[in-house]
Amino acid sequence: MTYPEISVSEAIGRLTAPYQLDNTVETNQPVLDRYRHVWTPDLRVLDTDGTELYRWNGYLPPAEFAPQLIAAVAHARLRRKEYGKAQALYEEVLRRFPTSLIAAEAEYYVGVCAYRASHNSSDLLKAWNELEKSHPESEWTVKQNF
Amino acid sequence: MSEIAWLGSLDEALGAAKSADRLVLMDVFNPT
Repeated sequence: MTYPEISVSEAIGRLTAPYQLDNTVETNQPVLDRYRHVWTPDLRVLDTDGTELYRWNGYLPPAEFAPQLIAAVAHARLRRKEYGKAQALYEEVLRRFPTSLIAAEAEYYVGVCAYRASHNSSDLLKAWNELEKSHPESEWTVKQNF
Repeated sequence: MSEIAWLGSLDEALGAAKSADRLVLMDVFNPT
């Protein structure tokens, strides 16, 4: 079970207001319809007005779920144009979970956040050069080179 | 081990997120 692990529950408690619903309960159907629910586990990060900012399917082992969750909130913060908050969360993923599956994506978006905040392309290139060195086989390295 | 304080409804979660500068994590699960 992923949720009882301290790295996961700490991140959920620190970063989110968590809401869990059973897709077999009839009274939950309006929410399920609103978010076009198809498959469980179905995880969404929502803005305070209910707008979906990020989604993924599937639980993961704690060592992968915690960085996935932190990166998910980072993506959501980025979409709110909160570049500093988003970058700090992506950097947390890299610092605490450098070998996680989502680390390369986090490193890619560190550059995006830095560039969006500064409008200086050298900030983007600096992060992406680091990405190429740390994750040469990643799809995110392919994307930044294309 | 640590307990997660799941909120009881979407409206409650949206309100809690707004008042605490957080975002809502919504987890849809199937118990079977």
